[in-house]
Amino acid sequence: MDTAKLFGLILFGVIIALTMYVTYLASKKTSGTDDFYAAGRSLTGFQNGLAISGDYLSAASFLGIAGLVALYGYDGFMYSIGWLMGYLIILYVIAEPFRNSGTFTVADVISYRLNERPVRTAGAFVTMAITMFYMIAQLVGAGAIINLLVGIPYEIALIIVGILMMIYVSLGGMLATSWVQIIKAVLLMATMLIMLALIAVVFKFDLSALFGDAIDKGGENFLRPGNLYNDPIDLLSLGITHILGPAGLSHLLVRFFTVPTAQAARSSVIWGMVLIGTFYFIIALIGFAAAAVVGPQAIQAVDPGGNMAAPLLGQMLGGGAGSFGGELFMAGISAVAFATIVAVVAGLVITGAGVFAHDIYTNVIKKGEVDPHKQFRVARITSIVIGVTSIILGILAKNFNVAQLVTHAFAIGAAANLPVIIFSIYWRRFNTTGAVASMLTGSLTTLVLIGIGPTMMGDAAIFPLTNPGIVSIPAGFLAAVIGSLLTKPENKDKMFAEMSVRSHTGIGAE
Amino acid sequence: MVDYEMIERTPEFQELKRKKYRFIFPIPIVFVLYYLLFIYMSAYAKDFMSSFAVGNITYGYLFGVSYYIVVWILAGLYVWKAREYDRLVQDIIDKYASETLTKEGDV
Repeated sequence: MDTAKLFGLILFGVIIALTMYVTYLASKKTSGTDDFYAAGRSLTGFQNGLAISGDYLSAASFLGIAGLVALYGYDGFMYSIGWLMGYLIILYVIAEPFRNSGTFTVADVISYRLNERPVRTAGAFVTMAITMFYMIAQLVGAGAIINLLVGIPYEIALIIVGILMMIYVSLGGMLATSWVQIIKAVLLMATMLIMLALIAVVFKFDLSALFGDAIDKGGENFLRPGNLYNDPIDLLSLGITHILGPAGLSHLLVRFFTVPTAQAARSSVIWGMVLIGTFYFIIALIGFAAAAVVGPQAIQAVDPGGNMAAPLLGQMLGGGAGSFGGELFMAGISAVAFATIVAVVAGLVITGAGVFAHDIYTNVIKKGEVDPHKQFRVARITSIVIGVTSIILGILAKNFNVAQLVTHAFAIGAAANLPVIIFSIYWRRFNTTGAVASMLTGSLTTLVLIGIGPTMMGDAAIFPLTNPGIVSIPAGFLAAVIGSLLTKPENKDKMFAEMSVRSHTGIGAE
Repeated sequence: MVDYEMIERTPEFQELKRKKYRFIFPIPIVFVLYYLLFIYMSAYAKDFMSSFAVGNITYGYLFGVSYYIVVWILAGLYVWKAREYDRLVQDIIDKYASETLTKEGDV
């Protein structure tokens, strides 16, 4: 094995050792359910902002969007804009009332004044669906990156990542997960700034020259819209999904339970927006630079989904394939991408496990009080089940672009989670039927349309759009309204008053 | 126990809700529509979006990047407005829930 690969392996090792040590420390501090699901509500706004960006900036952003920009130019760039904008909705209407009215999971908020068992059950299904799509995307990225760097087969790489995240989550809970995400966010942002500096030097701080080279390699239509989505309706659907998606992502929203107050939740969104915005601004430039320096064909030759654009750019910036600097730099970037994936996967698994242990096992099956240790055991078993299932699905999804896979998770979140979260906080007349109808309609419409759309069926697709959001998101909202209006009000004015006061003032918040 | 129904009926709480809702709903809705303008232009004004503004930098790129500035300004605006809501909330707590609470969020 040559020096650069050895360096890569050492970096992987250091990252694993560091995160394991954090997990060990966290496991000693984790005793109650507050610790396990919500990090003891001990994070500051800034720490949670870092963790939010660590949770959100996944393989889909670092590998997937860089790849889409490098392969499709302008259409990929649109992803980099869209993925930040949804945070404004989180900031304005969700973060603070959500923090004040929930305990551990999304279903805590939406079942606050509705009938608990049906709402928790449907909510758990939605969160699981989002988590699985997101997980598969991360594992596809992990498999490709480890394969590229150390030559371990894709399938084995997936299993390694799967086992790691099960250890983080089951031993360290949310506290370990948060710190793994914080470490990763710092590593990732530092890498981005180094890459930006190198790109700036290579192109002599001339953005125009960068675009000029990108057009030379990518073709004259590279900066013209339409290379990936020729159908305007599909594009509009993508846009709606991007802006409404983040506010429906369960694993992101539960991060607000890790801070003590609504004010801290607010400042964590602000920090998150600063970090995430900076990241996306740079990642688009990395994608364009990858097109300009490496070229779309060469990137696609390594990975059909384009996911290896950023590491390959690093290789060229460091001195080219085979050169010591190039291999070293690619190894570094891949190691950071690996840390990125591990952190996101840990966040997803703890969310999925939390939903099963807290919502389904404790509240639906056992109807309330369960000994924390029994809950943790259920959570651990769930994380293993989620891990194994997603490894299998990840192996099947090998050649997909990870950003597109994650967009499908956005679509489920926006169609099935967002309507019920908004209505349960703000709409007095909203009831259980509306909530269950919305969650089932939103998630099933999205899943079915993806299933019969071009992503799964290629040219034989029955549904013409790659992105189902334009149909499934309004369907989710409509089902909530129609379901509520067609059935009787639940006369839970007392509970609505309680939730309203609690969500706006924080009085009684846990 | 806190009497939530009593607090909900107070003019102060109603005023907080009214002020807040007038701000937190219109802005995101307008912003979503404004964002969809970018998508709309990308779908239907391809010639304009791919024409060059400066050197090889297209209007489409500049328009897209301008959204970062808009979203950060709106985020700042929210933080500024939220300080006013925090004050109103503190007044409500002081007036109606001070016996049961020592500080906000602390039960």
